[in-house]
Amino acid sequence: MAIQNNPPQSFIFVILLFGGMASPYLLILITGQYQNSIFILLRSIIEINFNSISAFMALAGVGAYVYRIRVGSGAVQDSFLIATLTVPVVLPSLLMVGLLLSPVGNRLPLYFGAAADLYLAGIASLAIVIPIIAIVSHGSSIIRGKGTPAGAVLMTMVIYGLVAFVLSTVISPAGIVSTGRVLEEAGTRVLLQTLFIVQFVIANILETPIPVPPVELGMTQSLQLGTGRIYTGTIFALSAALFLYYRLFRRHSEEDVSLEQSVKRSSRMRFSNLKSVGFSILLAVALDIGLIVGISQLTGSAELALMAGLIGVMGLIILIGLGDGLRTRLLWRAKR
Amino acid sequence: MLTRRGVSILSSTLGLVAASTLAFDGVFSTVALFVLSILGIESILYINSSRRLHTVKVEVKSLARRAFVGDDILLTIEFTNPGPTLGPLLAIEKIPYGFKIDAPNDFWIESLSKGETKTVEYNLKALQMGNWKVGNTELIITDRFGMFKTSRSIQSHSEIQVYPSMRVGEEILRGRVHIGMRPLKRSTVSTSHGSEFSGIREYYPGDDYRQVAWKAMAKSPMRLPKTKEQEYEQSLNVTLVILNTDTTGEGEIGGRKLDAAAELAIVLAHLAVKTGGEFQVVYSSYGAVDRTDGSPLEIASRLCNLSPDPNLDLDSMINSAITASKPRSLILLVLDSPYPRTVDPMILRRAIIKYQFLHALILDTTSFIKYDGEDVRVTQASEIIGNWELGHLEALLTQLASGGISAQICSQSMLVIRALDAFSRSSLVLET
Repeated sequence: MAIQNNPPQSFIFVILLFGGMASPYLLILITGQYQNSIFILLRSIIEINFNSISAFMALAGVGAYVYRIRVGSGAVQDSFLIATLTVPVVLPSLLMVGLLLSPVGNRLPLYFGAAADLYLAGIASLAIVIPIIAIVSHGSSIIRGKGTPAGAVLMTMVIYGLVAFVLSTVISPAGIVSTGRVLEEAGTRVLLQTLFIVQFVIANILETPIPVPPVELGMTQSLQLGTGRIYTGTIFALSAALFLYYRLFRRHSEEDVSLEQSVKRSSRMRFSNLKSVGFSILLAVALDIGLIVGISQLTGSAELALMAGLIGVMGLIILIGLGDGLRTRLLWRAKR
Repeated sequence: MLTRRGVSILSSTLGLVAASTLAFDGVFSTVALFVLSILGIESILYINSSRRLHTVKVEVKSLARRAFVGDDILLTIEFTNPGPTLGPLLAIEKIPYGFKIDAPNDFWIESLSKGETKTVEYNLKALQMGNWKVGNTELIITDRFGMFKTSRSIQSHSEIQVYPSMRVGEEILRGRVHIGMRPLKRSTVSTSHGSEFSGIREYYPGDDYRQVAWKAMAKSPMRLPKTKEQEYEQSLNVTLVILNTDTTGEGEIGGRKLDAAAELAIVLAHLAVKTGGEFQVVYSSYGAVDRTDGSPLEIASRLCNLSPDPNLDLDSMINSAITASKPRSLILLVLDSPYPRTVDPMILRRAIIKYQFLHALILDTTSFIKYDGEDVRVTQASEIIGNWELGHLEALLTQLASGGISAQICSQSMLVIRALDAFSRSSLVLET
């Protein structure tokens, strides 16, 4: 593990980096009062009703995942995690199947409705805990140095999307009368939102009219983040850059095929290197500003400037790679 | 050149770019562009550095020119950059297979400023005798993320001569190892001119006529020539014939059949110093018979370049051994004849002449080639091949015995013991 090999200062640095990388979704978690959703789950457990099992298992899923990270993968850990995360959805489904097969006669709609409510509450419970599990996974991968640095940056975007999705569906009304009711409604909205996303993707592929978003129909809520996004975005970008150096600027050898092998070696990012690293980061900022402002001035569209910038820089790297390979081959031929 | 690490980094970044583009989010797209720009800047810096890789001066320094098997050799490599600062460098030392390095053989130089010299030191352990070129280096320049690399091979002119180990031989000289069946009698003198008279013996062709004991000859019933025997003559002369065929290169590094034979030569050379007898080694070199004698160190320096000779001529080697051997000599033959090779006993029989002893030490190939893996099938297969080989060697032994040639099968660990035993027995025969 990276932390064991690195000095304690390095651990603090990684924690700070994680904070920076997590800043976009931390902002949305705080602004959207995500804690309310957790409180709903906790209250559901305390109230001991039909939905308590789903809420408890969903929260236990977080515990199971943390345990799995601490102990490592194994049959027991995996079974525990799978059991806790599947019960909220599988249990109501089994109940519904059982009711359909049982001779309950004219009372079927009553029982079946209750099972469907349990199903919706289960979906909502899972939707609430999944971002937490994703955040734990994100933190673990950053601190332990697992996966690629770009993957960690991408994970921030994914978690941001997940949190936004959950917050748009789990509306927390003031003075909740029944947590069960809130969870069932949230479950319905999760299904609606998911349906909308699927429709949206299909409509984009088939080039058919785009469906009306549930927000516009008043079925879900939208979040207003204001200028906070710009600040957190800046922190996120700087943290991502430093994380890139922290993870990749290591002593690497010929045998280090995967990135995870070089994690065993300590990072070369130190105070003595900050000057040269900072110089590279400043150059990158200058390049970005130049590209975005320049292309925006030419095309009049910032979005187009971003796309063109991405393609341009990627093209530059590919050109360097190709040119370097070609030069190596030419030198090799000249030697022969 | 793009590395596999670089492919991994770039493909994951491409995934990030694609995801941020599909997310239609300005903030995330800007962050993705920023991450990509950092990779781009590092790539540009790498291109700038890699052009100047050939200007780096590399100097290999070694304190030792000669070493013995088992010795540690300190090697120093200096890297000097005459030009502007260069990016991370990775120096990979190409360790000759006759050496071992305990630490990793790659050295990381984070940066090399203008005029700066950085030194890399490492210890090499000599495993096998021979002449070895050390300090060959592959210098690799990379970017800080290890995405690209350019390498430069640097050939060193530093050569180290590794002699066979003298340890066992020196211990014999100090009398720490009990040799054979009887304790060795140490000669008081080692030269004929200073030796003491010890008795009268029969005349051997080639004896110095000044040493002929005329009175004793006159007194003898058959008037046979007699010679004054000097004390040094009581010792046994040894000729070690190493039949270094092409199969003698078999075995692990430092544990080849040739290494065992060379070690035996050193032991016998020490024994000669201790007992006062003469010792010489006969071996083949590029199809011609070569011979060496002298002190153990001299023999070690000659034998360190001993290599398998596919053009070995057994006939010439036996003839040379016979002519080179003095009376009261033991000819020890190190013979390697793995399946399906055989040896004609008639060629060897020629070496059995009066006042000379011949003993063949047949090398057991199975003791030199070992399998330590866990694959049961390979273990079983190696056992079958081993049994087959032992059967072949026993048949060869019978064949040699029928030709009147004394021989023994010797495993790697038993070669020296068997040779010393043969020496001991021959000395006993001479005394009686």
